Amino acid sequence: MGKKIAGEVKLQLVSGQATPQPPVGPSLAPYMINLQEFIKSFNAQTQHQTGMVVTTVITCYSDRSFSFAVKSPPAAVLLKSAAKIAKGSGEPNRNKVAAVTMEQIREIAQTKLPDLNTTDLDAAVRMVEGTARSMGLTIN
Amino acid sequence: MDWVRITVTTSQEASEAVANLLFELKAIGVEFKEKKASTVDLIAHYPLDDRVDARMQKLRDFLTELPTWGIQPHPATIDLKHVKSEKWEEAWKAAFPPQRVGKRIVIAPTWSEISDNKTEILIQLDPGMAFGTGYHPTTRLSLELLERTVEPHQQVADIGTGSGILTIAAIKLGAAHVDAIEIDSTALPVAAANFQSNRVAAQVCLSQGDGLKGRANRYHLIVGNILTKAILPMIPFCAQRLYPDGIVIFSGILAAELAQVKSVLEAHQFQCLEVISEAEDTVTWIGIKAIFSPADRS
Repeated sequence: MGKKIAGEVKLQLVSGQATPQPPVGPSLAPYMINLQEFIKSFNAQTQHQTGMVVTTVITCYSDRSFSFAVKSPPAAVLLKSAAKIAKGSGEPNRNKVAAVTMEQIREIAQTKLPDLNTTDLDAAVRMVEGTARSMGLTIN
Repeated sequence: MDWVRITVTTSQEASEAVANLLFELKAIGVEFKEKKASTVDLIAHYPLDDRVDARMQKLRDFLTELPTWGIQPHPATIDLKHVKSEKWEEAWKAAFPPQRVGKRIVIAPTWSEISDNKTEILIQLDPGMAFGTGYHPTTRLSLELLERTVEPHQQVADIGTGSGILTIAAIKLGAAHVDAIEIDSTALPVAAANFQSNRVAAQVCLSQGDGLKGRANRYHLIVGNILTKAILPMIPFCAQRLYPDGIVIFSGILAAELAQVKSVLEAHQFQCLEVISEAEDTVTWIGIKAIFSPADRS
């Protein structure tokens, strides 16, 4: 059956740790899908990266079945990994915590591009650059 | 525990940076609602406690700073709402009450207290990641036609089995064996589990495949809850694989497509026996039953 899509929900969640509590419960409630099944499947699929924030898109169908895809991690997660830090700066203008190269920024923008609402790589690079600066990273 | 829901409306460009801050402020998740004009609502929930004002101030400061980091956040607004705690882990179950289809078929989730009896055909099925929960008109149309069609000892093919609901119904209505065929690999384990829990697995052959292509078995009945664009190329294969007087049941047909489906069926020596329909929002879905009446009956 070609399924009729009732809606899509895009969430950033901590891998392996989804629960019915917000945001999952209230975000999916309008689509009346099997919440327990989503949580079980998402946690199983992402358990190997427990603790890392990932982006997931849940597609809800008109018969209340669903599917979901785990997309690339958020830019901030990829930046922390590239800069080898656990956390961004609480005072990004005053306290710089690490540095990344422009090449790393471009790589991250390339990784994110398929999941962004744009095909413009320059726009993706600007977004990643800005995110890096907002975390207290300097760009070399 | 009650919650506060913070919604930040900002540019796509700023969305990843703002989402990161929402996580730094101890959100356990962030929802992205993409809107027109390249803006996005970022929604995060926090426990209702004395840190709400501090979080709001941090967000306001952050949005003000964004241009200095090369990101334009406009239009940037912050909305705060009190969210009462609910039993989200249980509330969704209310959307899946047991339902009766046709005269005897009852579809019920496993948590309902309905049990098997002699007068009803019980299909126990939890909605999940495969189409065929029983909560869509096309599934109900197929089930209704199956109920009026299946005879003991029939060999059946279920094309696009999804959750396996039509296969389970066919076996419980008396069919001897069903070839359940599904192209989507994610649906296969769901169907397999449903066949086990409904105790029909021994009479079902579940396989991944594209309809009847490459199949050698012959059938008394072929059912397919699939869209018209998949039904039309399937009809010649049905004519090859059905015994004379075999039956096809298709749903997933929009009312406007019925004439085309009938015409292709007739061109392949099928005679239409029954057409039923059910509305969903602004569309009407059709279920059709036709008999294969070839001139050559070998």
